[in-house]
Amino acid sequence: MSRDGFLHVELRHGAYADSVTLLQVSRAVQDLDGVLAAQVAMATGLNIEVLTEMGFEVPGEATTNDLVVALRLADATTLDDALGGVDRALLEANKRDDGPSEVAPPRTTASALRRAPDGLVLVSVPGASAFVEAMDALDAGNDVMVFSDNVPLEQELVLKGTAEQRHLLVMGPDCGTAVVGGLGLGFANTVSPGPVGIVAASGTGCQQLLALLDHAGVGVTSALGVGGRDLSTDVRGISTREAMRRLDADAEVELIVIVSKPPDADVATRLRDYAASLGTPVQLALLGPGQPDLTAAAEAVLAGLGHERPVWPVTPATSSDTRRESRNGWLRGLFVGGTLCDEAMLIATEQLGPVRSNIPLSPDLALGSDLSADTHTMVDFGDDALTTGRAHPMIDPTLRLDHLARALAADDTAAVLLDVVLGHGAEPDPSAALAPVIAKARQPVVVTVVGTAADPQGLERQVGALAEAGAEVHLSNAGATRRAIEHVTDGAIR
Amino acid sequence: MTTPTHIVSAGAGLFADSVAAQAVEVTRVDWHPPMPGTEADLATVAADPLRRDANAHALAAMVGVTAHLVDVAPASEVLGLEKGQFLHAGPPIGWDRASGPLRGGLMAGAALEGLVERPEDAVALFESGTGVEFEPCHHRGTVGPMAGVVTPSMWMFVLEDLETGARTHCSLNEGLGKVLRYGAYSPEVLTRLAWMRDVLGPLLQTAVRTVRDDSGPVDVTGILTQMLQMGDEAHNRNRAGTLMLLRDLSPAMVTSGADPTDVAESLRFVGGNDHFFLSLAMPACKLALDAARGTEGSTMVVAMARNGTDFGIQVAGTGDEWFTGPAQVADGLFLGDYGPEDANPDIGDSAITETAGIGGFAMATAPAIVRLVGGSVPDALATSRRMHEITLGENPRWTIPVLEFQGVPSGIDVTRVCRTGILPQINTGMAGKQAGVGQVGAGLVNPPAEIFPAALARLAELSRARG
Amino acid sequence: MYLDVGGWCVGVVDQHAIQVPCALGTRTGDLGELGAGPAYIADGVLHLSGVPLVIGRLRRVQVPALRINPARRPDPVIPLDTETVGRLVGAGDGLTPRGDDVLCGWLAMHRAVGAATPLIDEAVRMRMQGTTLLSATLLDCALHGEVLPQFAAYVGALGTPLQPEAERELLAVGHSTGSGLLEGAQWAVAELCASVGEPA
Repeated sequence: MSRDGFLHVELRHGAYADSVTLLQVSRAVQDLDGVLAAQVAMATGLNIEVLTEMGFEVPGEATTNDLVVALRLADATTLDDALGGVDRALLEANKRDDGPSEVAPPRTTASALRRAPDGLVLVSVPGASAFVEAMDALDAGNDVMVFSDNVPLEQELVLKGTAEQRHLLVMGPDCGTAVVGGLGLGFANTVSPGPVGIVAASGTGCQQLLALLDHAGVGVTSALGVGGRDLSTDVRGISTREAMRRLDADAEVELIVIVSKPPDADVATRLRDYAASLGTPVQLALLGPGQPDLTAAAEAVLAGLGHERPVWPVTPATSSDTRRESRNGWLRGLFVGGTLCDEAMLIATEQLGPVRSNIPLSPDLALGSDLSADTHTMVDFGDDALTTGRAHPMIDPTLRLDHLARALAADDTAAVLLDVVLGHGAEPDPSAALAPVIAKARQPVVVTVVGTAADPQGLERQVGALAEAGAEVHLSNAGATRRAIEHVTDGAIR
Repeated sequence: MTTPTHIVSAGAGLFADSVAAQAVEVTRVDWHPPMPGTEADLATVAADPLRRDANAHALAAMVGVTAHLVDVAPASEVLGLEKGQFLHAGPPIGWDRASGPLRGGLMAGAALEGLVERPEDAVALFESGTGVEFEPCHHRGTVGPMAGVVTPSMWMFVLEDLETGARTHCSLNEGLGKVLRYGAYSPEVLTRLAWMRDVLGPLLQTAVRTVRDDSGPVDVTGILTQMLQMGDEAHNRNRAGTLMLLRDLSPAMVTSGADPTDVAESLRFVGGNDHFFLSLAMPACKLALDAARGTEGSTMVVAMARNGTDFGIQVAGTGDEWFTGPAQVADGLFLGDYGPEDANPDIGDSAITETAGIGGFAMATAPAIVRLVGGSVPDALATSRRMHEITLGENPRWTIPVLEFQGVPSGIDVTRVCRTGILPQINTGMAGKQAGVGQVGAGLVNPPAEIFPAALARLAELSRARG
Repeated sequence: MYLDVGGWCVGVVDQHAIQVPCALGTRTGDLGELGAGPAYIADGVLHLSGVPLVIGRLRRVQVPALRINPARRPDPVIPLDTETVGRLVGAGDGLTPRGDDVLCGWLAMHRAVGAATPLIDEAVRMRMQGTTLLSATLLDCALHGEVLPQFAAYVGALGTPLQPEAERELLAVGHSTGSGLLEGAQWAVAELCASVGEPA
């Protein structure tokens, strides 16, 4: 990385903006004349690392409540203009076309609910403050979705205990995806209304199901997220039960499916008992070693509704340049979806042996912070540790693209497996940045594009662009994984 | 589940954008990180099972109080105040830390009670500390404007909540210019105080008792309700309230049997003092807030008070504890040649009006005050709206016409202050630093921010102790 | 506002307008202004005055399923026949003539109970040209069981304590649209009870 130019680093105490806003600001500033590189971010540990990598020196007294403005300029004379540009960009980003500007917007969820008492609340503030906003919702008698992660367990227990008493629903914490009566919240896909109701302890697991069912022409009324910890022995499924109750009461829902990692035996029994007490049939898709994968779960749902099992679509690489040869080496999985990464890992472990990961199947298979190893690896770029103070990879692909380029350049990479998740909240054109990188690959690249026909990014267009770049594109993550494994085993034989 | 008709989004604007793109109404919370270091305590208090109902109870208790003027009597009688005992505005303080105006007020009080020949002699007395005791007005069910000095022979308004029998008190307002409450102790101050003790007090007592016994005690809360619709905000502007009080009491004053010259003098005195009603507005607010004191688990502020050196708050769920920090100098307009260097830090119990939701909180209803404190009308509207962000609710009896008759923001919530960083807005007169100078200006002032995290920490501690 | 897209009517309606099942619903933008300029479709997206109306969400327009209680004593009723269809299509004024509304209500109610009506369907299809584009499209929607939210609510409320209010809400739709739909729906229910109540 170039170290030329004039460097400027400043801290702004008390200034705050969310990571997505700051991403837009950084990009806007980077486009200014005389600015070689720019990064405007909150001074979290991860961001400081990135800044240091870029050659900036961040003052030691910076705390996570400080905003860092780091600029690399062609020369010092453009500094004032550049800083002016930063201020303008921050102002622009915070402007919202909300209506009459005389009335200031509410500053807390409680205040907002006084203006809009029927609102379903969506909380995505930093984890340390999410509990307080969510309690505002419950205190007002409203359901709440907590997208925020890093919420302590004891706070989750208070939230859900309170919700249980008041017959309210807490979706989360760490709930990335929900569809409520057709309205997508968080990272969600545009689905047709239909007979299926989903309860999901995982966001991208839910999204995979939505995509597969959509392709099969089966609609979904609601997909309620419950957060990754709801079926743990501590929480014991409080939100899962309430979600099931709501779906059971919905006349349009003919089949309920629950997606989660396998809970412990006791919690699972309780879950099955409760499911049996409902009028609506319930299927359990409890992913784990030896269990059916998400695609098999989708097939079970279709069967349960009397539908035929479709052939899941695969779009072969359409680029006609040098065929990608399998070679001896490792499988590199780079994911934005945690459950998709998990699913791939389970399948790969069965067929290839141990896989290292930042979300390993067992602690001894953990990856170091450099995320590399001399064995098969699968990385979840959406994991908490890789998203402190930065936007989720479905919004900001830079970190994954970086690692992708490195993986493709490495001689010991046999095949690369990727997921691209479409829908609300995700970046508007993921294939635009991915395709050029994939086009340079000398190894087979297999991509799962998780999306529905009506998603804003245009499913067909995304699939086409990636296939053009030389990737083989699947709708089924399980299918894509098996294909990638084939390439690896082919390469090993060769 | 049916499609939501409205989403409230707190956090990344991106998700609110997605909802809007799906043709569903979305309200965005303009979220900022809370005051540094408060996250953990905020979570503890938010998780307290007592909090929600305690706050609802505290707010309802406060809003439900009607204050009636039942008597006027010397402090020695109604407060049991003895010679050598002095009440003062704000949290507890001693002579050594007291500012100019408070010292001046104490000196005048000492002379008034005959503890010393001349006020100047009182300095040595207070420095020695022998035979003198200080106590906050609040500790004796009382509130005092500016220096707020109360001595045994001073006559006090007595307000009562007829339902519970609870009472609060406040001394009679001396008027403007060189007065004890601004720390003046010249002979004219003492002369006036003596007249108030010998003539005004007893006359008002007769009138108040007559009205009370004949047709029921004056409804002070009711007068406040009307005042707010007439351009008063009850802290810096009490003109309409004063005139309404006069209307209620003057017939009884005339028929009291007192010397007509005295009656005329008294009527002129009250009528000519636009701030006279402040001495009723303040204890009416205290009476209402006192109803919420001691509500376990409640995070509602029940008192804001300054002694000219410190600014202190008391909270419903933390008993009699004071949480204090340095009193600030107000920001506003100065009279004559005075400037910021002449101003004393914030002083007086009159912030009890803001604590109850009027004064600076109802600024939108008193545009005249807005100019006085150096603001603009849009500023005033914005302030009233902003105070809604840090209060538990509204007072439906006290409404602001220009804000579509929305009730005044009531029940300052310690947690909301810490979450938003918005500090209560107080309209205040500024006293001269030097004792006796009098009023040097008027402006806007806030409490020091740090007292709210301190109160929050204590609330969190108590919550944890309850397990 | 209503557009002719390939021979069918596609509506663009704001939150205060009737939420016909063939329309895009929006909460933002001044539709009056948007309608002033050109309309075209590019990449599957409708553009009005250059503003793309990207679809973010798919609403449920399907009439809910309903079971007719076979034990109900049938009231005597003259069943709808193809000749009457001819008289109803296009009968009345306005964008959606009342006769069409009655037919829509009748058809949608049959879809709700899952009863096929091939003869009537064919008669309607043959006559659709004889009415406004919007009304013809709404007839086609009704043939598929796609309805207004107030109609869906009414069907869902039948036989429950919510029925009277749902009926009132339906009647309040438009000038005569609501009452036309209701009449058609009630006609269909009477017919269906009569046919189901007959001994096998």
